[in-house]
Amino acid sequence: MRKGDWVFIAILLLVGGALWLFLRPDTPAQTAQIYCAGELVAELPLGEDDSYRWEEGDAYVSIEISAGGARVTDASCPDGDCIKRGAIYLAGESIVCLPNRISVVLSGADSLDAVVY
Amino acid sequence: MALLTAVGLLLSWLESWLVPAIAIPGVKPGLANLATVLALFWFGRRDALAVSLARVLLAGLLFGSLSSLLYALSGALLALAGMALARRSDRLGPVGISALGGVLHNAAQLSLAALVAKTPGLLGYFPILFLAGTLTGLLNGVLSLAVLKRVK
Repeated sequence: MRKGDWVFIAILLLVGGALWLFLRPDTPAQTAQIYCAGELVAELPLGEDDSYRWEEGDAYVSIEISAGGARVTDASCPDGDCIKRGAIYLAGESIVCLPNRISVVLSGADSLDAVVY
Repeated sequence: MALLTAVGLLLSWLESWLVPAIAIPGVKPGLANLATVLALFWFGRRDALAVSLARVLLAGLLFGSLSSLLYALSGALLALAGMALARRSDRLGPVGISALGGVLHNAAQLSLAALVAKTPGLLGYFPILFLAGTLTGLLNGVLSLAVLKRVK
């Protein structure tokens, strides 16, 4: 291990730690925005239990709003990472099903929205 | 060289079994990068490129899908570019270089996903992927260092 290694790794950990501390969501969210390939297709309040299903051909993603949070209950993607993500409750959190290009993004009353592409 | 590629491929395969156990989606140990780092130190950057490409292509064809292959490729290429540059300047050893590779790999994949898949909300994953890349790169680096010390 060279000195440069220690310095570099310390920098990486500091930057990573700072990013994580300052960017992590911490306020409960109020709305769930559902995007399909970058387009907003639904905006659901988290206060009411609801469900949303996206289908295109054989592909599908089922989203459920309950207990103030959102989660993906079923999806056609091969890995199911979006289902494994579980439920999200805080503003700024998101669940993304990359193969199906579906995102569920939570936002609060006065928080900045996530960057939208 | 072929042996290194085979090792990289084996590590990729092992990882695909290990991944379901890890809670956070998208966070992979990236163990296969070990082979690339070793190639970089033993043989130089051209051979490291060959090992890296071969490993990503084979792993993508054997265990993954086309889209996973593209993401892995972008990660591997950016990681290798950064690692080769760092190697040139010679300020970092295998551990630092491996950590750099880990961070770049994840950054490349996240950027590609944000650009191509047009799914908002992805940038929120950046902090955790940055840290994960650093830590897995560190792990790889420590392993590389151990191997490099024992095998000349």
